[in-house]
Amino acid sequence: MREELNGILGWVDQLNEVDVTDVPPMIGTGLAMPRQREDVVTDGDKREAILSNAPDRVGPYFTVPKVVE
Amino acid sequence: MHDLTLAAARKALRSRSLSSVELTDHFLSAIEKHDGQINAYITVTPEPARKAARAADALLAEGDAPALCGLPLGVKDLFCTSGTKTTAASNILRDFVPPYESTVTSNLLADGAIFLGKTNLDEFAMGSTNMTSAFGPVTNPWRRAGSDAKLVPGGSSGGSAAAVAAGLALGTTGTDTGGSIRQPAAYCGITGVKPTYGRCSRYGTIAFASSLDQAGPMARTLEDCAILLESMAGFDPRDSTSVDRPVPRYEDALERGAKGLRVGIPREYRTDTLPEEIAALWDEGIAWLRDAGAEIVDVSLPHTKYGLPTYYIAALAEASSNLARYDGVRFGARVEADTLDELYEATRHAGFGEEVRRRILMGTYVLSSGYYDAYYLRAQKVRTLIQRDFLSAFETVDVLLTPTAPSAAFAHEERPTDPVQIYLNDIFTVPASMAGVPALSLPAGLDRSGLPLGLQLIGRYFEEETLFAAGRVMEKAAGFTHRPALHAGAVA
Repeated sequence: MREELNGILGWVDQLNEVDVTDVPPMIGTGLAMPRQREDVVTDGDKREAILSNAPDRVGPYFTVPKVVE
Repeated sequence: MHDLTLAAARKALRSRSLSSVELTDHFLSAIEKHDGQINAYITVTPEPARKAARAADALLAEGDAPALCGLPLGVKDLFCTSGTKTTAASNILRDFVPPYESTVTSNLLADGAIFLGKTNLDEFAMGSTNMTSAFGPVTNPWRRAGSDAKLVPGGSSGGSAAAVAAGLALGTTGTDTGGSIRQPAAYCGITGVKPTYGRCSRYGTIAFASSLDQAGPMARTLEDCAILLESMAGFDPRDSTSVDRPVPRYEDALERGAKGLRVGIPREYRTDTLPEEIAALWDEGIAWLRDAGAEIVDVSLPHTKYGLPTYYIAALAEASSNLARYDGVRFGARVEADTLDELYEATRHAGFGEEVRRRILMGTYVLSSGYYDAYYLRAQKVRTLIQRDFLSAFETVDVLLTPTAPSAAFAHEERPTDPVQIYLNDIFTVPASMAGVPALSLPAGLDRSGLPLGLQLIGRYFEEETLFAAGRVMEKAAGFTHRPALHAGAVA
């Protein structure tokens, strides 16, 4: 895998040929208007749905190995 | 029934010469008989499909049926479907059952579509061969003349493409991040449309590279794709990149013709390594449009060669960030361990396949503080230059015509082992993805060994209708009626 990753990095190095002076980074297409919505709850009461795919749960909680000694 | 297009099936259902139950049963039994050889589906849902077909027939009988009422489709297993397993072809989501529905599939269901099941793909849509699926590779229904070698269907929407080609669905949904609709459509001899970024909602579509991912239809014909896209598209407040524009009736654009259309031929796509037969087919496509009254214009997209490396930096960076959510705690597979860190490590090591791991590692690397400017920021700047290439070409031309892929489908065992060589399959599809402009692939002819080849049309933002019109001219001229060796009709 290390060799493959080096191969990919060597290949993308060709971007160094490109003159990007004063070129802004493309963040998006600029087509979607930023929008605001009312700061109110629009969804909720989905506890069982949210927990329905938990690999392990105790009551309404996800579980993890003990993290505090 | 094997050769029905979606449009013809719609007509037959409306005239009541065919019922949705008959149609759905036909596809379910075709899947049962033939999908063992193709592996286009990860999950088949016969019972919900039959139940929905009965309901559709009731609506059709009343005469007030929605647009797609009773039409059986396949859904790429990247779209969350409420109550139906959605795996992204990954072991980490092998048993994931979404409690909600993606917007695209909600739209299709609201229009009365029947879902036959979930189609196979490269794991997390990362690949161009459909060989990275945790549920086994998909086999292209096409064979080279005189050969039994199993060919790849392309990817990542390889199951969706193979299902349509083999007559195992009237149409399917795909997603395209760097060519994942167009390249498999070309390899399987079908039609696929990647709309403008923001046309179809990403809500509920498992994310690969969020600034590139875009859903689109895959089907036998442009008319079928037009019908499906009208249903799939539309503004969705739940996707911040969704664009609030009315959805046109794409079908109405199909017969507009190409008279007076200015068609650009980007000279950088005529690479030294382009096979002669693909170059010849491209020339044929140019002639079809010219004969229909289009003006052919030589154009330059000077940053074309940087499209692929830019794509791999941007897409992998976004992937590494998006896939951080698979932690074995809230959903998905978990490998137990003594500490939380070990749980994360063991879960992600076991859950992700090799290509996904490679991409997460690369993406994390290009985003790391020491390398962010050198790789990620530079790539985002080159992306601006690629977008400018398209915007400036579209000042003089209406559409661009190119080949879809630099080769026909290749055999499973011919797949290159060098990841960079595999990435090169997407050389002609990636630039349009980077710019976010719409593009489609349609089957235009066969190569010497009898395999389908596709041509690609690229258009201005939100001018899918122009693509449908120009594409329809080419579709008629190509008269592509070839069928693959493995086809529900041929082997029945």
